[in-house]
Amino acid sequence: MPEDFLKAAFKTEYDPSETPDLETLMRTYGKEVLQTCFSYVKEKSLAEDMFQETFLKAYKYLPTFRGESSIKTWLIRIAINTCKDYLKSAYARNVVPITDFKEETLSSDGDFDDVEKSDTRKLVRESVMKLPEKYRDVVICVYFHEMSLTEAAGVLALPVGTVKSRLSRASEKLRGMLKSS
Amino acid sequence: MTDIKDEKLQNLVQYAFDIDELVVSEELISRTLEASKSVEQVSPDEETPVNPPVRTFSTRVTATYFGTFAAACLVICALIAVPMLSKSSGKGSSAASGMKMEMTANDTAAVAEEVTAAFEVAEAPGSPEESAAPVSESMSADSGMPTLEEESSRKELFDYAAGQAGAEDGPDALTMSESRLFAAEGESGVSASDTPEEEVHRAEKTGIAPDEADEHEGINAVVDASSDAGEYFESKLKALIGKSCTKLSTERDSDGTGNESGILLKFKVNYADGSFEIHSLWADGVYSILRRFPADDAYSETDYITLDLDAFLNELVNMIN
Repeated sequence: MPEDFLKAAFKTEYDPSETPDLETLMRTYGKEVLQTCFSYVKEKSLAEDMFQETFLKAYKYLPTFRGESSIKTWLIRIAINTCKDYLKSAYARNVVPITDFKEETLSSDGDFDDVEKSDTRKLVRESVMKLPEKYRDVVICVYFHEMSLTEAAGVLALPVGTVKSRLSRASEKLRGMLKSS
Repeated sequence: MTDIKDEKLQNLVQYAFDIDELVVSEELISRTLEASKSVEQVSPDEETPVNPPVRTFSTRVTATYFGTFAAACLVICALIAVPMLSKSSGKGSSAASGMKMEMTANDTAAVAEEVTAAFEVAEAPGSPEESAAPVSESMSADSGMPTLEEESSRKELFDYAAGQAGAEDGPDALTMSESRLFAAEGESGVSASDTPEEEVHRAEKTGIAPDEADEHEGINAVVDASSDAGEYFESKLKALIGKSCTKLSTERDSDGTGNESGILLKFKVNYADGSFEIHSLWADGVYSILRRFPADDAYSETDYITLDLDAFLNELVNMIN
């Protein structure tokens, strides 16, 4: 029927029954969430804690998810907020986060190539982490998660123009940092 | 839109963060699933947004109205503050060695422009002698109260605070009269709610390109003050809100998601060694202080939402009524 076809074609209502369960969410988007958390807290075990907190919050608010954004951007947004929240509250609790990334916990090979690759990774990672937070946010969203500027704007609650200008500045700063290293 | 992406840089970033060891282990999944059993899901009817949107003014008309009203309220603040300053001026020499206070806020450009206009101090700073002049020189000798009209009272307030810290901080120190309260956003004329078109328009108007303007997001005021002035700000805020304020040692989080929608006013207190504290005044009257952060802390770069001007003004109206 043409009407059915049109209804299907212009379907805008989000169907809550399409929302995956928590386990599926973790298996599908877990790595991206974990990597996002790591980019903020800089330590694996802390990132796992943030991962857990992110998905617990997501689970709690899952029934209110209306599909206005993709579930991935929604999760990334929660993850970013959770990490920022932690970084603030951790200081308040006199907890000093480990700011120096422990490379040795992540690389085990002594092979020269691996070491070289590891150094490059470390350099880029540290450069990203050294960026002011507002620039790091856009780099993580746009470059790492390959979000469009509009999606990143949604995640970061910023106008698209601001995301665009921040990305431009972030790229400039990042290039400068990498060149000088 | 994607043309501004640097593909090489993107590949590098992806490569750098693609850490093999960062895997979602079965143990982590089962631990999270186990923990979720104790989490109660909210009902869709509750409509509790995980990330409530930042409040913005919907129209320029509204913004202009609030801007004008903000200007009036801030002048009232200055009038309230001057008598308090005269009390604290007795402490004099106990002023700490130069603490900078940085107030930041986020609002529409229209409001910022109005506020800036209302608080714009003479661009050319006064002479060092003038800045450092003791408050008593600019106040009535017999009453200790300001004798001038609103504008001059406000300037006295600024000069007083400048005098509190300026002389001790050396040439690098900013003073209140050298800085402009609520100036940064007013200068750039750009707010987070601007569309790119508005940014361009404002860039034409202000001569500041959107990219440059981005550096000035939020309303920033850099004010040198002593620790006395820090206390003064705190007491002033308490008095303005008229509620009991409690110092907290932990960060408050209104909805558990890192959003700070309940904050009316937030400012940074910078110490001479670069370390800083974050002071927040919440809508419910609680005054929280985050303990001292090290100078190089990433939090100093945080784009925190700082001033819900609407709520702040409502509180002021309630107080005045």
